[in-house]
Amino acid sequence: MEYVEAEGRSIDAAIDTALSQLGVSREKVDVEILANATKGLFGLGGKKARVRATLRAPISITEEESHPPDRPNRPAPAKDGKGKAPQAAASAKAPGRARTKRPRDEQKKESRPPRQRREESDNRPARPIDEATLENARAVLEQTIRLIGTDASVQISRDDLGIGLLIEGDESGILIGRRGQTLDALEYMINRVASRDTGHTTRIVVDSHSYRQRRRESLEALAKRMGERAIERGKPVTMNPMSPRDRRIVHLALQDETGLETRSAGKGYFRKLLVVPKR
Amino acid sequence: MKELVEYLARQLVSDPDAVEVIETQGETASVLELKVAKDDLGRIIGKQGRTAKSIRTILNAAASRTNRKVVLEIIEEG
Repeated sequence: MEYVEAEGRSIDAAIDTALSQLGVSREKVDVEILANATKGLFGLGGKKARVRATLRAPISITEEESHPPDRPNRPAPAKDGKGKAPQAAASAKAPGRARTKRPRDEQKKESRPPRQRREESDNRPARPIDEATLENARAVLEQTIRLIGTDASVQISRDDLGIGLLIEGDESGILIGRRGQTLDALEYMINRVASRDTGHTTRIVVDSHSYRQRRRESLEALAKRMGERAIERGKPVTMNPMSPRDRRIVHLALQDETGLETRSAGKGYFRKLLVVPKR
Repeated sequence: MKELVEYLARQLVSDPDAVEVIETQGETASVLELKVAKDDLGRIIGKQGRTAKSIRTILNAAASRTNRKVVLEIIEEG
């Protein structure tokens, strides 16, 4: 593989030098940081930043794929190869020591765009589901509930918000479960079955006695209280780990709140939401 | 309980005839061993074990009506 090593006052300057030596644009190379620049004392003894730029194979790797998976607190850098991409790729490739020297506010900037994009994509309309698939999903849910040992019927509901299966019956408590976990499991199963039938991902909502609506309202109220507390204390407030769906409700509930921002930290089941007061 | 696991598993696999559930009753708990065709193992476990987790959650909901605990084991056929 072809590569050059270059020096510069800063990592960015070194990358620019390397690129002009190779005569290619930034997307075509992988950059490895060999040494970060140090200032030295009174302009003496300072070291230049050194980078190694390696020409990429024709199929370019996206920044996300080259991103090591062992850093839970930082979302993947922006995917489009423009703007901040040189920074992002450079820091993704940097050895641990150099990475920790990156100023914090720069990391924040990088983390913003992907999150917003994810929320937008969540709002895209679900693909249509044919009647036969939906009826089958309804029947599977009803049979599952019967086998759990409760007596309930399932109705199909279609409105502008999407497709839903509503469980009606007296014993909905055990079908909802703690924090809706049984309802979520049923919903997941139903979507697996429907996805297999249609050949694409479906988004059928399983609900019972307006649980989803009630949960949303109580989460929104909780979000507001957490927001007030964060402003009062002038410190970030951490919320307990919750499901992606619940976390999304909190993010959306506080997104128009001035003086506050929300962030997620941690991985998987332990992913927590932080409500941070802006200064 | 056994029927519930059988039913859910059959909804997910491509070879429903190979689905087999063996129930072992203990004093306070039951163990359900679920066997499926080798090619269907992934469908039962799911991405990050999500499908298996959902089956267990639904099973626990059913078990909460009784006073027994239920454990689901997914067995890989050798």
